[in-house]
Amino acid sequence: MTKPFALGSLLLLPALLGVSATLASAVAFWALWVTILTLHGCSCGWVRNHLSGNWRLAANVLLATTWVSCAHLVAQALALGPSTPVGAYLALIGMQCVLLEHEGLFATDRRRARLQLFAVSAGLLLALTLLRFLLGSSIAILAPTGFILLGLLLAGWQAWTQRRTPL
Amino acid sequence: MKRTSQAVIVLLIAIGVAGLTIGLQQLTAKPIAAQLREMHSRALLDVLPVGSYDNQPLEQPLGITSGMLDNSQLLGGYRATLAGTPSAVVLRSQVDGYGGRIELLIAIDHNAKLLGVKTLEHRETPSLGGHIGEPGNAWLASFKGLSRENPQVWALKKDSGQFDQMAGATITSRAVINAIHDALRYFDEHRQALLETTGHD
Repeated sequence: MTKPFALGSLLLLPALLGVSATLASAVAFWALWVTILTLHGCSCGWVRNHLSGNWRLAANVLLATTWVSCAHLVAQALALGPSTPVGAYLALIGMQCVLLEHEGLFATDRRRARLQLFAVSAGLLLALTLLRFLLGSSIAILAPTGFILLGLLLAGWQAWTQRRTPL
Repeated sequence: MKRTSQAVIVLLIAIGVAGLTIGLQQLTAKPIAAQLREMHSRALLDVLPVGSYDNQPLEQPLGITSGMLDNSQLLGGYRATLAGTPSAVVLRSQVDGYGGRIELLIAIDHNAKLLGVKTLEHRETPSLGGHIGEPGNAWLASFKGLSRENPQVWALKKDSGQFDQMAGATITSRAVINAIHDALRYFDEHRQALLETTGHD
């Protein structure tokens, strides 16, 4: 994950913990998240050419809330992960959309960064889900285990990237 | 001029997205209501084995009026049928526990055997009596298959019966056992009326 988008990307972490209890809910949520971000990116692309300053921010917020509300409605209608309260995570994703657009992730020359964000989140989500599945016991389903596993995964990632960059 | 045109664009966007959201909400209102109903009934009816009924038990409430039983209170009941013949009865019962009222859902099949017990509401001490509220609680599951005559004495070992109690939760255990026994007795005594299908549907 590139550093400039760290704050926006961090908003995905609570959702990662919440939906990684089962593979189905994890995949469904990731697809929903990518859809929302892509929709927001496309619509903001148009807005960026026509608006500036505070007007652009206002449009950014309006669009983000719309996509999130629509996604929430669709998720409810399809009973996406009935055991997972998706609503709270979607609100965070709305916030994330606004932040990421503000930081410029959806600019046309940032395609690589976008794909990287999607890939890293998919990887993290899959890793968390698989680890929790492999641990298997009822403990692994609980949120605190998710926290601990996520911490370990991030620590591992950090150690890996630091080893690769020469000191 | 530029300012006004930008304001107009934002206004148009606001109107557009509001319309989109309202439209989608209208469109999804029915499926969402159906999903909620389905989830609710699934949560309530998971005491019944899947495939043991093909009706909508929640839409067939039993006309239970005299609510007070020996140790508990009967709040209502539903009849599950399979291919038109009654297969089970689900009774909603309320009993005084340690921390407050416990509301139980007790499923009994047509042979008067217990199919399952589920706690709907309780205020018992967490991690003692509160275990009854956990899905798939082993102590509650141990009653499956029992009936009014088997065992002879429906009581805790402590009360010269044969049931183990949940650790540290004598009062809760006793209350639940009494409520289940009450429900089984009620079923036995009103078997005909409970299993009789009404002719007009």
